[in-house]
Amino acid sequence: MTDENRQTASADKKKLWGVISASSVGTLIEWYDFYIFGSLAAILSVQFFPQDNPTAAFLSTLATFAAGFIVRPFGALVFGRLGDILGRKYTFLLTLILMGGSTFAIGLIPGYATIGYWAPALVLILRLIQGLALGGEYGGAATYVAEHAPAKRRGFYTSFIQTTATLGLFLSIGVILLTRKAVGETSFVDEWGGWRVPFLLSLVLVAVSIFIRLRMKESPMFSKIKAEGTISRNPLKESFGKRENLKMVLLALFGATAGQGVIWYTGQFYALSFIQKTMNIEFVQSNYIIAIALLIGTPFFVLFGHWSDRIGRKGIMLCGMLLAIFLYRPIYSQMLQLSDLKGKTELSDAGSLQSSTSQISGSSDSLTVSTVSKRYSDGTAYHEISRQRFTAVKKAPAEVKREITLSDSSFWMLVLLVSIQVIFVAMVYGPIAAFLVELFPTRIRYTSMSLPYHIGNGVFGGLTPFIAISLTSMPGASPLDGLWYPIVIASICVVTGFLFINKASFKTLND
Amino acid sequence: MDSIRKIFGFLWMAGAVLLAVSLPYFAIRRLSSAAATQEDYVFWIVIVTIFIPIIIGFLLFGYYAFRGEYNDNKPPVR
Repeated sequence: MTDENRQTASADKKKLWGVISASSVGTLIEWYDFYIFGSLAAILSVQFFPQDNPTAAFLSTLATFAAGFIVRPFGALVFGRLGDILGRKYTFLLTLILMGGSTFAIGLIPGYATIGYWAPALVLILRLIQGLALGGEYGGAATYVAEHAPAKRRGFYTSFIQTTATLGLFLSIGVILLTRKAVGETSFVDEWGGWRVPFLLSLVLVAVSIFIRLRMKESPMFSKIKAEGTISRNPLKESFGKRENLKMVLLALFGATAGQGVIWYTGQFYALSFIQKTMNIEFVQSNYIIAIALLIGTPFFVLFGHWSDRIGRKGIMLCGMLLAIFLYRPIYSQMLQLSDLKGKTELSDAGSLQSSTSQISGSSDSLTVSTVSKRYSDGTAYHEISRQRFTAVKKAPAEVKREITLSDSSFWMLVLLVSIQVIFVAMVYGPIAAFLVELFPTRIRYTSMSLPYHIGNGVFGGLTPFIAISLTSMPGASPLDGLWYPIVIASICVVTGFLFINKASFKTLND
Repeated sequence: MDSIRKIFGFLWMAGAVLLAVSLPYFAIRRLSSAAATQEDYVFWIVIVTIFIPIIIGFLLFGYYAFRGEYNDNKPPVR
């Protein structure tokens, strides 16, 4: 290679890393924005959606379900179409502005106590805009990077986009925990308290990302078809109205993204919900466990993306699903054992029991609060607060809050068990951007890949916590029965992927 | 391999029909019970609305598989 060629190759590589950084930072911020709403759901529900008010509670439910399940695929269609007509760069710039603007605005809305119904209504609208923007972002970023990357390294380069969803979740947990620690728990939950900081911070993050993205050029493949005048006039019709393309959209959904969605949500969200609600692990400790596991698992996204360039995308993705199918129940069974107090030895001199009864102001009712604390020989601590209201004629059912703080060894064992699940996520998610972009031609790529991704991830994946909890609350069900949902969906996906995805599908990117 | 694809295509079609019937059935059964809450209504309406098109897609996928659209001798996508 001559000096001139070497310089050109070095400049190209530098340019490519610039593309990856600009795309990844923006996508990471979009995921961060989307997740802080979910991570702060308990506080938002008190501030904006008081559960004793039926209308506010209704709007809350709508915000939860509609943003995740309806608006995300709709966003994929709207922005996918724009991306295939106007170009990738301006479309995913628009989604970033919408996401950042709506997140910042949520941080400014006064609570229900101040402006009444306006508060939940405005938050609902902004949450829907968030869902819409997220639906448009991912396809744009993945397409933009893939269309810059050399064919043999596409899995490796797009895997950096794949780390952003996990890092966005990590960043949201980190910012929330740091803010909570800095302002204190009481100030954090006030109407104008610290919980607003993660929302307001979004403006700074988005401004930086917009600045970086504005300096980027349009994707070379899109520029080429634009110059040739072969841009699709109606990407929606071409993507879903033509049988040859529709069958690949369906294959992407049922052979890859549906399974990827359930593995993704089980390994990260359901794991957190299981640790907090089923195992009763203390809030901060449970978030640390997830955060550390996400950090351990993140490099594996790049590793599996890189391997997918050498040994193929399909094998790695299906292997990740298969491992999850066979290992989820043993892993969760092991997790459950860590919080099982029956097998532990209680330290008799370290426990305490306190109880106090007070009159509720303005009422003849009384409230008894009992606190039980126990310590165990391995370092585990158990804390139980029970609140029971007594009326003149009867006593209401007690509200019991249990919290377990794990010993160091159990903590790290739990980190390991969640990390293994994040590695399964990395196996199915690391290569999937390259897999999806390679299924569709440039002129309709943004539209065609965005919809199956957001149905798989948003609908199949997003439903995981709800369906899993429904399964565990059925009569006679065990805490592990919630895992049947991801196991069944992933199994269908493995069979479909194994039988129907073949190498002939991977010839469209270089069109 | 192509004949296995055909069998699974049929199975997926049958599964899609079963789901298309059972999903509204479970929704109606849940929503007609006295214990149904407002949250149940939103949840089930969203679920049925979003899943019926997905089930139609699954049915179509099974149909394409049954017809041999994904067989090895088919040309690459264009």
